[in-house]
Amino acid sequence: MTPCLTPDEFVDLVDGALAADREAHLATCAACAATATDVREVLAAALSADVPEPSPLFWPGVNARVQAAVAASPATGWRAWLRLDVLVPIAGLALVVMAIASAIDAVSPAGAGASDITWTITDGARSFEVADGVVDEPAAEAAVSTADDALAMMADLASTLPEGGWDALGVTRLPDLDIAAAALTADERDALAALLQSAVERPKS
Amino acid sequence: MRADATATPWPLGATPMSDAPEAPLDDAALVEAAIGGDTAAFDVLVTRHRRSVYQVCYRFVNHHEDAADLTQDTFVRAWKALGSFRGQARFSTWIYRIAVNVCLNRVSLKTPKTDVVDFDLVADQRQPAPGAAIDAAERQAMVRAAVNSLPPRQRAALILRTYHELSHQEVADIVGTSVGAVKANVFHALANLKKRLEPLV
Ligand SMILES: [Zn+2]
Repeated sequence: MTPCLTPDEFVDLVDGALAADREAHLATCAACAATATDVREVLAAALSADVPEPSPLFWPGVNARVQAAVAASPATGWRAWLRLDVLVPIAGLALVVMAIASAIDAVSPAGAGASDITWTITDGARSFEVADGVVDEPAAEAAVSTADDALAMMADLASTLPEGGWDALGVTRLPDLDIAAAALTADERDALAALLQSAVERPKS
Repeated sequence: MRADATATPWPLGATPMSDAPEAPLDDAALVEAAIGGDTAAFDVLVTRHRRSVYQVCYRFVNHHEDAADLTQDTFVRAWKALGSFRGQARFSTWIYRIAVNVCLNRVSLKTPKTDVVDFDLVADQRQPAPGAAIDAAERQAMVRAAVNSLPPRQRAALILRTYHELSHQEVADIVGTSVGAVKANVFHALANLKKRLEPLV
């Protein structure tokens, strides 16, 4: 007798993607046949449940709310203070990464509230106290306030790096970076890594 | 039945994939324009994808107002992150990824990290006694409540795979896991639904 179906194979079965020789097992095993019936029935029940259709007036409201939120997001966000050249001195970059890691941690469910974010960005000459997502510097207001901003900023930052990425810039505080990275969840690390990777690979525009 | 690699990205049921008027530009062109600051182009993207995003969110939280908030949040995050979208995935897949992350964040703020769900604690008060007549609307509400009671990862896999017809690979990309894990999550989601819906199925 062939082995019983695995969970994967039951899913393949209802997808019509299970190999014929495996499907043949069902004819010889009452337990698997019963499970297959259950899976099909519960899937059919699940498929029968539609999402209630909202009022037609709801949909334009979605656009309006999104547009309002987009318009309210400051035009001079973090990109503005990137252009202040505050990040050019390489010594500051590692601290920025630390700050970003803090931001990501702070907005993650396990972390503290976003309003608790406070960090310092130094470029060797000046330093900015950043609290509650706002850089205390007139031209640099409304900085990183969410993990998304931070990740997008990392991508843009990395895209400005020369061949070789961070290493080529002589970022030396790697132990600190490792500690920062360790504070991220696996998903966040993956997202950050993928973003950096794709950004570094992106042709300069 | 569909083949994995050719699964269509949109619900095949009664809901249309878009309630937008005939749009001349494809998503990629609209994204390019939006990255350049064209909010009208982004508005077209919102119109085109708002229904499917709302439906993902609704199935996650089983609540209209919350789903509306999550939908808005998804698009605002997408706007902010447009620069990181490089066309390696379809915009629809990318926006699903954001929606799922937004939903998972919301859900994880409300439920224990362990993904343990006590079905008794989330019992649907509308659930009739066994044997009682159940009309179609009640039945659908019970199913939605049961989906809503699933552990978040199972919920994400089931919703994307079952209601949005994404391939297992696409779901895996969206939730950041393997195809095998997605299939296992779908299976366990169905097993949990079976328990939850015992009077129905
Ligand atoms: Zn068997």
